[in-house]
Amino acid sequence: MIDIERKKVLIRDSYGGDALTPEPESYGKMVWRRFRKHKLAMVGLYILLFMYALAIFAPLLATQSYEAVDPPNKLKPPSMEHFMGTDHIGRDVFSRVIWGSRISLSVGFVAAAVAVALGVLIGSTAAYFGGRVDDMLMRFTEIIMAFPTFFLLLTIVSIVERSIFNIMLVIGLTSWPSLARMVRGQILSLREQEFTEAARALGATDARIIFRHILPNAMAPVIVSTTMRIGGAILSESSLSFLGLGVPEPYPSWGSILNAGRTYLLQAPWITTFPGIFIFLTVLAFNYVGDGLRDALDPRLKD
Amino acid sequence: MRKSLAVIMVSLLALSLILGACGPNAEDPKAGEKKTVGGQIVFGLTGNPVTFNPILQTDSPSGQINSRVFSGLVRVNETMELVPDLAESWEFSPDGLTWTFKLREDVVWHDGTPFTAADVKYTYDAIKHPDYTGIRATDFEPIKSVETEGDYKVVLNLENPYAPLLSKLTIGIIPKHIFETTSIKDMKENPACMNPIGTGPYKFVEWQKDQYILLEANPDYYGEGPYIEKVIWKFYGDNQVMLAALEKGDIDYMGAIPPDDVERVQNALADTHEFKVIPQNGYTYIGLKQTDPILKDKLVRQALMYGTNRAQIVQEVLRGYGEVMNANIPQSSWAYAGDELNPYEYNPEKAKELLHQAGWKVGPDGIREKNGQKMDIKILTSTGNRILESALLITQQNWKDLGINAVVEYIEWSVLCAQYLDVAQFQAYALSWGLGVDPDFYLFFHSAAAVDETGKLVGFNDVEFKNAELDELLELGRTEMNQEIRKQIYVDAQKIVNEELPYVFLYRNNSPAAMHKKVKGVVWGATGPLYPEKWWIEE
Amino acid sequence: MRSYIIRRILQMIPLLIGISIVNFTIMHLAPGDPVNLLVERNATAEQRERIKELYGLNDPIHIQYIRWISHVLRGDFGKSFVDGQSVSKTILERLPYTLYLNFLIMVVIYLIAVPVGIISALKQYSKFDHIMTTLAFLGQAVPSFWIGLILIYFFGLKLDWLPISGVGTIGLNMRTAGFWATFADRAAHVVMPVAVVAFGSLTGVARYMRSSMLEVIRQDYVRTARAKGLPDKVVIVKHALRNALLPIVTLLGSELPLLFGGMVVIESIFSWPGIGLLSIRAILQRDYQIVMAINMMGAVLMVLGNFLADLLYVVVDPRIKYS
Repeated sequence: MIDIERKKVLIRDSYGGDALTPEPESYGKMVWRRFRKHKLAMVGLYILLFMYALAIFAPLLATQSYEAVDPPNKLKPPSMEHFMGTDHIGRDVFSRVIWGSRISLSVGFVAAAVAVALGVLIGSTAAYFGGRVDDMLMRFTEIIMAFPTFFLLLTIVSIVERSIFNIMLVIGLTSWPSLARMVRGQILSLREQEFTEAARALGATDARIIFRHILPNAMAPVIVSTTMRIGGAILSESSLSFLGLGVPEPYPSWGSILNAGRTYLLQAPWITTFPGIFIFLTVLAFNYVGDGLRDALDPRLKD
Repeated sequence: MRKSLAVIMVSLLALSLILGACGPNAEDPKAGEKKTVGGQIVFGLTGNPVTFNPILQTDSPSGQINSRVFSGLVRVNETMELVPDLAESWEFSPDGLTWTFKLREDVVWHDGTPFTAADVKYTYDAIKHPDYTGIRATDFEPIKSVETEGDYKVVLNLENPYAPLLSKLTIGIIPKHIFETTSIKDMKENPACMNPIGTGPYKFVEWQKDQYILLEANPDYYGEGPYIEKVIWKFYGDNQVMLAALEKGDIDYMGAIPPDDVERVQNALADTHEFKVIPQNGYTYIGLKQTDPILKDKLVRQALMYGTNRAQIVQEVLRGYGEVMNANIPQSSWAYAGDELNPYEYNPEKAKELLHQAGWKVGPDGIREKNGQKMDIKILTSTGNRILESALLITQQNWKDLGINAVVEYIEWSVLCAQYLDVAQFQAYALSWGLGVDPDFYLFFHSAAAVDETGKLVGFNDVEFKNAELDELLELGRTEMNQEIRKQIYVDAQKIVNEELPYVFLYRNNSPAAMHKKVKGVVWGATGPLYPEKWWIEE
Repeated sequence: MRSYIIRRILQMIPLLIGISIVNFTIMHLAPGDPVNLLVERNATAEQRERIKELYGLNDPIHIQYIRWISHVLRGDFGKSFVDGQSVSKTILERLPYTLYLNFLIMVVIYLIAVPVGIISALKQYSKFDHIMTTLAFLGQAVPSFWIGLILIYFFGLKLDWLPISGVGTIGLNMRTAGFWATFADRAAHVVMPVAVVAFGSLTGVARYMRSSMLEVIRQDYVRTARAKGLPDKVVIVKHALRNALLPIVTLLGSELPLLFGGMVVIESIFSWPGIGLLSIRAILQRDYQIVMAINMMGAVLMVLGNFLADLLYVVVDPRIKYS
């Protein structure tokens, strides 16, 4: 069960290539080979591909407009005409869920992107300059980190104009600090490693070292954390919707459809069931993929 | 909901009539029945009361409690007339400038102190004090001074005759001996705002925030009753859960059951609960900026009225629990104009014709345009009102069908007020008004209630509706004391409003309420169950 | 050790000042004038000015900040603009309920997550590991309000097994009903909220425990112990477990601030009278004083929590030395 061979794996520096392996394979290929082994992660990947396909082809797939109301046909159960039934104002839930995939996945993606961009920028700047700059940036990071995240998110969302873009932005703006710390920590520890020394000895500039050598290597945990974060952002948006601070009507996000339907949990369960399942599957998929990536990117795990 | 005014009015109402009316004049509904003393009744609330001080109160949860703990000089009965409460009788001087109230002499505060004219003077003076931060100041502006004659006579001196004032005197009187220890500025912080002492049928016992409020019967109450020993309000974080609590039997009464749930709940609770429709004393509307380049044209405004399927909104969104509004005074008021108004039945063809007539021609993209300007209308509204959201989705589609590019923007309440409504900067907005007992609507549509030279909103006329004829009627309505004449004045005024359309009037909702059948003696007034001190429990 | 503590405390001071400034700034960036909470909507400009003057809202922002912070340092978060009550008192009234709920949640989470994490690690990639990973992820992937409402309808309404709101039955307490009846009543009220949160948050701790355990069993000393022929059980319990639990201790510290803000949705659904419900109400009402106080207290707790976690680390891990 516990693999003595792992010691080898530990020694082997997967980032720098492996002298022991006769045929060196590219880093990407190796990660992919390991990732494929994680069955749940593969399932997650397929789910995500499916969801993104829905989002991309939403205009083709949606049978109706997401905002066309038809009050006399409200709260109708699923039928051939309305695959997922209709909501409280007669809108086609299927079309809303399909369009909703666009909004929800974008919320997740943009929020995570904002967080990663800020986290990497601040984390690497701090690590690169060190000293005063590092001190100031890290104090600032700690300050933001100290705030209860969801409450801070609520506070800010409640004071900015309610739009899809602002929601994405604020979710991202409240979740970068842990990434910044992670990036900084990674860079600091990688800086001491041999390959950095080697690059330096070869005369590479600091910036080149950071961007060409350290940052790509430091990204492994960042990628894992980001993947999970996308799912988290989708959930955050649905919580905001529940509290009345989410994506505004008539735009459909899975969270807002779910929230609008909660009033009809008993009489029209289809309004909540479908977006609920979509949120659930997507978040699950992101978590699986994140888990798979963690294992695939972790050099210490068995091959 | 348009909170500030809606809230003033709703709470005024709540204070005096939804739950609070009481006193010797109220007729005993079923004289033969034996009323048992004891038991408890449980209500639900989704918001915490803000203050148990009726003159500072702005929210309806506070109103529900205050209406049982406090009493005013007058109150409203089931036919929406003003009848005596703490005042036994009153008279107006012939010029209408001096109002004299004779007070009951058998009233004591919950702490045993006798109630006197000094309390009334203190309450009204507090409202008129410059440091007063509550929302009743404008109501009491016409009062020049408050004087007492002996312990049981109050005289109000008015600047000019002002008929609506009597309906404002439903406001609860607060005890001078408790509040005089704090300055008016710090009144909010007086402990009595959280632990109220009133003269009403129920005494305040305790409030565990977000858990419950407990009141108990006041044995020294001056009127009939109370019979029910304990009144409890339970708190819910969510309206949907409160509805579940009603179905589970955790609470005995719930007003405003969401229209889509009525049928299901009614079936589930048919054996145990009585259902009554309670008409809203107010209405929902879309305010149209009268100076807007598109909306300043009366034909356009009328087209919007014809082109909005208001009957469908009432039918589908309110499930028939509501009425279409054609002007600004609801059916329940004595001043309602009824058939004399144009009903603007849904007629998209007529609407299109009117728009055409006004010079708005359909452009290549299906959107109407005139002189190169597109017909874009942006409606602002507040978040959190599901019924209004649905109504606006229908409206938006109706307007799109007319060739209007209608957009609805949801803005958080305080921002909507501060950045748009209070500075009268918008093209159109959708909200609800809760109304008072008196039909006076000077503050809504009189030109003097619009914005002043500095751009500051004076009254509630944020659409800047200006009509000389209406101004005259509204001024007259305020000073005329004869109700018959006043009715004619307000009917004429409504006709102008109905024709000129400062708003697209949408609907008022008549939400069903459910009361457990174990509660006996409930009198259902036009606006809700009345006389809670006369109810009793029969298990 | 003492010098370490002193140094850490000194470091906390600028951090707390920074937190208070950020906090104050965010609330004052909010559009809409707080004076709107204090006056009626059609108040005249003079009335507004007067009220602003009275409440010091006309002073420059740094003066307002200094006034606020100097009160906060004395434990006074001011008075709510909405109801005029002392903010500190309001929060202290609510805190016990949130603490109580969180304590139970934490107990449930750790009781389940720690063993699950350990077994998952020991049997990495086994069926058990996969099932547990899946279950844990399931809980994390469902919006909690949806699950909460479904539970309310199913267990509360359909089956009528559990109460749907609040902390306990009004009027039912030890005095009126005796210990066991009270206990049963309180327990019944707490089952659903604890279940929903615990189900949703198990993953974090379980995964953490799993990876921590994986890390430890790869360490040399564990291998050495095994190589020496010690039985698996002894190795795991005596060597691996102790060290693997170490990082979990830090988690405890960082979970303190969850009390603030983390419970908003759950407390709203189950009408739980704690900080979460208070905070969403305050946010929607623009009760700046309360929002600032909750943010501030949450942040302070976080800082203290981290500090405590580090200290605990020292206590449980003899290898860590602080200079």
